[in-house]
Amino acid sequence: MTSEQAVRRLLAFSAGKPLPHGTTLRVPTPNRSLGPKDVLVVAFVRMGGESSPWGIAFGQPGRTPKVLTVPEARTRDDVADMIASFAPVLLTHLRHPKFDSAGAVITEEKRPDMPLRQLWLPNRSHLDMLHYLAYTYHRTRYGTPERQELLQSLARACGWLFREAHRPGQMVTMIATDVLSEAYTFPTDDIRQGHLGFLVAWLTTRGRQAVRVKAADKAEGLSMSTNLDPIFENTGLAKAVDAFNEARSNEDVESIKRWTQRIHKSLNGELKRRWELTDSAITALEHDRRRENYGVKRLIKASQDEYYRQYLRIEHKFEDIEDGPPFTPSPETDRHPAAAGSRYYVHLSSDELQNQLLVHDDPEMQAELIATGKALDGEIVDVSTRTEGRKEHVFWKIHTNGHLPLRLREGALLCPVGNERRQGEILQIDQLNAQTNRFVLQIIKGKTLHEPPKLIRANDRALLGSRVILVPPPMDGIARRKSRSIWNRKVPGSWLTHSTPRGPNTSLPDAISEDFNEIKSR
Amino acid sequence: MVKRQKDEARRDTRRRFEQWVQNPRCEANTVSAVHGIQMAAVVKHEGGRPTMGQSQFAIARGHQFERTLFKRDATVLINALIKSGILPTGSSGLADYRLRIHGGRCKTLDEARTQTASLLKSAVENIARTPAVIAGATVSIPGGVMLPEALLVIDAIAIRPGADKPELIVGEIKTYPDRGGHTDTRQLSTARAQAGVYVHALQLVVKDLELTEAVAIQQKGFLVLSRPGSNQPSIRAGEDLHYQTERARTGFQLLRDAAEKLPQIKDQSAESSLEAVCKAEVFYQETCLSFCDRASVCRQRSTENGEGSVLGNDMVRFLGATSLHRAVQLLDGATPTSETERDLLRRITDARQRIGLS
Amino acid sequence: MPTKIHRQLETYISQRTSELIDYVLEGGRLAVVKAPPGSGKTYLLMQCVKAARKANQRVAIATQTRAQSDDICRRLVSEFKVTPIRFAANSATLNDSNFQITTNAKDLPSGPCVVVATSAKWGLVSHLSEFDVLFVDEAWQLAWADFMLLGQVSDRFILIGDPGQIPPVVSIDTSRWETSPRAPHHPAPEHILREPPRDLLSLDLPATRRLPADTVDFIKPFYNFPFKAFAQPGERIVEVQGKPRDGIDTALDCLANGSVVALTLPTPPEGPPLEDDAEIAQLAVNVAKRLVHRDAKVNAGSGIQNIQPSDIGLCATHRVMNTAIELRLTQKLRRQMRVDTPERWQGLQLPVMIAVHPLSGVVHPSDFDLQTGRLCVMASRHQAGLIIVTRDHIGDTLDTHLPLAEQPIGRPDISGQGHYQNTQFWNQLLKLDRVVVGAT
Repeated sequence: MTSEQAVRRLLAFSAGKPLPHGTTLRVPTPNRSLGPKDVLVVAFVRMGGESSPWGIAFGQPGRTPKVLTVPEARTRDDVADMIASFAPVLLTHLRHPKFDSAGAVITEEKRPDMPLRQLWLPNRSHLDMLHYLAYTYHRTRYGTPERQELLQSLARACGWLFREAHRPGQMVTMIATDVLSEAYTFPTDDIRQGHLGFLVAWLTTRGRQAVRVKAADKAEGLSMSTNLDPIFENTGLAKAVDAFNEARSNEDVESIKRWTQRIHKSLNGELKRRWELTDSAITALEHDRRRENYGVKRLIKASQDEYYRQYLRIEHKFEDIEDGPPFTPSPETDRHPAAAGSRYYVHLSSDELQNQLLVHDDPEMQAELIATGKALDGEIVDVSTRTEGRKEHVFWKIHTNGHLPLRLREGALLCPVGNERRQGEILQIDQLNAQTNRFVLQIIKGKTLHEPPKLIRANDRALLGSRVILVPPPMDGIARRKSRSIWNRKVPGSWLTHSTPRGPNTSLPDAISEDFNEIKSR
Repeated sequence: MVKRQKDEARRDTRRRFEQWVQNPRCEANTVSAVHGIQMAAVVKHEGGRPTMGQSQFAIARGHQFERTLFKRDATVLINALIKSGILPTGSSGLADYRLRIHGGRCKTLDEARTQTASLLKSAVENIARTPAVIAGATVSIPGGVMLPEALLVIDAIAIRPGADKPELIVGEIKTYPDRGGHTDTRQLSTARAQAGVYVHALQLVVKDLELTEAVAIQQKGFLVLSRPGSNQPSIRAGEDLHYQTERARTGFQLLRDAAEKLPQIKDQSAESSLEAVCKAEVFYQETCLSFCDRASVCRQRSTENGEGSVLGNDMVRFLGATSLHRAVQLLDGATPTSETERDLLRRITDARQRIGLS
Repeated sequence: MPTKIHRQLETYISQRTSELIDYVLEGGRLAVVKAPPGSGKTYLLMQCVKAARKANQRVAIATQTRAQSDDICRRLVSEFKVTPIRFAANSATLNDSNFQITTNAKDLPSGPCVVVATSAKWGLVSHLSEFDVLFVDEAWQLAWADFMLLGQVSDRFILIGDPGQIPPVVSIDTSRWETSPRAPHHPAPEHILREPPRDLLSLDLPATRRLPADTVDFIKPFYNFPFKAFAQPGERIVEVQGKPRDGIDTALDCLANGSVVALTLPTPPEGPPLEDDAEIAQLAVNVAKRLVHRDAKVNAGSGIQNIQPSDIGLCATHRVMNTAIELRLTQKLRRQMRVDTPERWQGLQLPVMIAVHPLSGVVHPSDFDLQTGRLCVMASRHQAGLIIVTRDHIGDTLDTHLPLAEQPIGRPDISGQGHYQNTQFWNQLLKLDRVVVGAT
């Protein structure tokens, strides 16, 4: 925890309530950038020791969720049936070409503009369930060919949603606890912030601190993860499951029905609680008075690009010059070095984009960046030019507070807040005295931009004495280029750089492997 | 039989060791771990409701998983170990020293321990006739003044012929789902910690049997995990246990040292034992939530006392000697009354300015 | 006067150098050279480059930072009489008439030449004509994915680097690739050495020219290959004048008979400060000032000289601490003494270093805290003396710390290893009685 984070938390504790983190909201929420039908809320529960769902609750926010359960989570076929019932809902939501006409009309040449589709989950254990589903049904051979295809499509969707959740700045797979912890500072430790009920109670309970604390403590007593409370599971549910199994082995239809309903009733309450709290988290964000950071729109666009490249075109089996062949990634890892490298660069690129987009519209983020030495806040004390032939070089001298940490170095690129089109390169950094650092910048892009009053030409001496905040510009282009270049194996050194790996971790069980032939066909 | 089973249960020092290392600075935790006083019982004694527990289904799953691995002479497990390169092709044979209640052959842990020792000796004499896998190998770590000996049941040991002596590879079996790089790191650390304790104990036993030069206990072990959606186990070979073994050695010594510093419990009645835990000093930290039934009680107390730990462990360091209550007063404009408070206020003010919240 | 050990080491190095040069000239495809700090790896690289250039090969050199590229260009000119071309992203920052600077791949000569650029530049350029050989400096700081992009430069690779230093910094979640056979974020040499082609030439440099003899014993636990020091025991010293008045003086006096000493301050009962330990920062500055005030003399390998402020470097892992140190230096000293993080100190050296121990103030070390790359770098910059300043809880913290092995499946236990290595380092200080109680 940094000092800044400690102070935030202290302020929240002093206030007796969660405090907004950031002057803007950094996520898209329904009723702002998205419509309610663009959001699907999903929650799972599972039986202790199992990795498959015992029940699923799903639906659009603000509505009553649908709840599916099975009486015995260890019966694979029953669970597969349940998943097969859920699959069309998820696949329609993601505009899978076989389930949604909008998804079916795209071609390699034409990608229509479609609003982003989001999936909201209560906490990270529910995200892990998506991964389990990806593993389980990646190459399932259970059931009819149609069911296999349906479940494999679901597995691919879950796998993509899971992988996408780890891409920085993504706006598709939303973990409610993460979103709330980012949007607010809670007066509590990190571990408790993993409990959605606890966070929602803090946010939505009115009254003094003691009242909120009491509500939050009470909420925390009820499990929110995919695991059920062991005491809840062991008392009641365990007997019901035993009774169901006995009824099934006796082929007692009435008892089977009765125990199925009993189990469903127990699980229904658990699922609904998880689902409704996620819905409440969304509602809390909708009522937040902060406006959406204007960088969010570009992050949404980036998410839409990823959605097409890494999910939809693969379902269509379209090749992509930028992103490689349409192969189905293994749920586990990328064994093909170029595939691994390409995705790695995409994530790096996303990380840069996220950091550098949102900051332009959030003074608190700017202050944080300045506090860590990655941005400048200073005064322009000199504007000079040097002509070389027909080229004019423009230089700024900027004085900043010498007490702040300094992570920027010569050669670093910066752009003014609110104007990425103008960029400067740091040529020199001096410490004039204890209070003052001096930066010499050469303006290398956007020198002649002139849109007064906010933006005037870089060589205009009217800039003297003006305050300027400079932050790193979005550099995602470089990592993106690398993510494309790395696929090129027609290079002299490919015998080493693009050779087939040998040794440990080269083999995966067929059930979870990617198809190398799909990748090599490029 | 019931008494014997209770004796066996009380010798579960490994579990208590793992409980203690979660928070060695907490005296109450130390008393509970050393004397085997369950925190759930303490919570009930204090009028609360224990919340930690294990799902019956999870326990059953674990047993089922183990049965699958060891049935028919551990065919499934041995094939998987061969495939992952831990055992050479053609390996076979299971020595099953698990207790009968767990599907094995031994009546008691002492019998299992004797059989284990005997097998280790015979492996040295004739590796060719030694089974490839031991299930439930039972070894012990000697006790101290306050701690009984720790009887440890090792999930699996693979035995293979080495260049000049038999090699023993310790394996830990868990139903944790193997998801590659996304496998839960806390679960992995638990499994490795247990395996480290087993390697340490095995080293002690081998030394005790004067077989140190005759067998090679590998510093790399293996994990047997489950794979989501599959009945097949996932074997992960080459797990680095070197430092976890050292952790076990150091940790048990530290626990013995801590145990010796504890005051004696007046009598061994349940009431006195529970009271001893209740009266012991606590050291609350945020990770207590993940393992201790009493965490909410201690947290409540810490909140009343204004301890920074209720906002996270790092808050304690940030606040220094100043309580949370006093820090709030300073935030609200109270005048600092000491250099420590002035320093805290300065740091708070500086940080607020830096992030634009002054 | 060269001793027998010196001669043996020089002979060994000379043989390995010849072996590597022959390998390059004969068209060898792949070599990996492991080098301890200050062992002359960049010098070795430049020797090979010169030989290859002389044989009319088209030679490319990839470094990890612009500063390293610039430095190699200057040294090729001044020490090896080789005129390189600096291939850069932006020419504005360079101003050197001794070598050509270009930003356009089309301007690179098609014939024999030596071209120096960063790995980032090489990886992004298009329309590149193939080079005969690519040398990669500081190879352990190059991630595998970045190395893959260098495949377009040449089909022959010579990688040289220090495996004990700080690995590439990764800011994203890499869980997906931890069990990949070629994880994109792992250092490139790691993958190569794990699956070595049959014709791989693998060499280790045997000795450090930079470090004092006894320092090698401190940093050996960080390496998995043995190495010695060229310096003889007692050869590299720091001697201060006058009588000791306090703990700082006592610590400085220790440098007369050993190159490493630790200077401690008591740890407050409620724990040390979170980030900005003002007392430790002040102690580090006081040590630096005292060295100058006591007219320290130093033998950094080229005879006894009076210490100058510019001979002293300061290092802390956190930028907040570095800022705290800088603020306590006078303006004059700030201009003369470099204060920086270990990441920025890599590749540099000075006669005397003052380092804040990475674990100072860390009472519950995490995996990140225990990674020894930073400590290894901090402990291997000095040519004569290293003063480590720290709170005094380190020994207790290490003794009572029971590391968790939370690394991904199949990966080395870096937390355990780091704990072990940190413990070895601290125990070496205790064993040699080189922990002194300091005072501000």
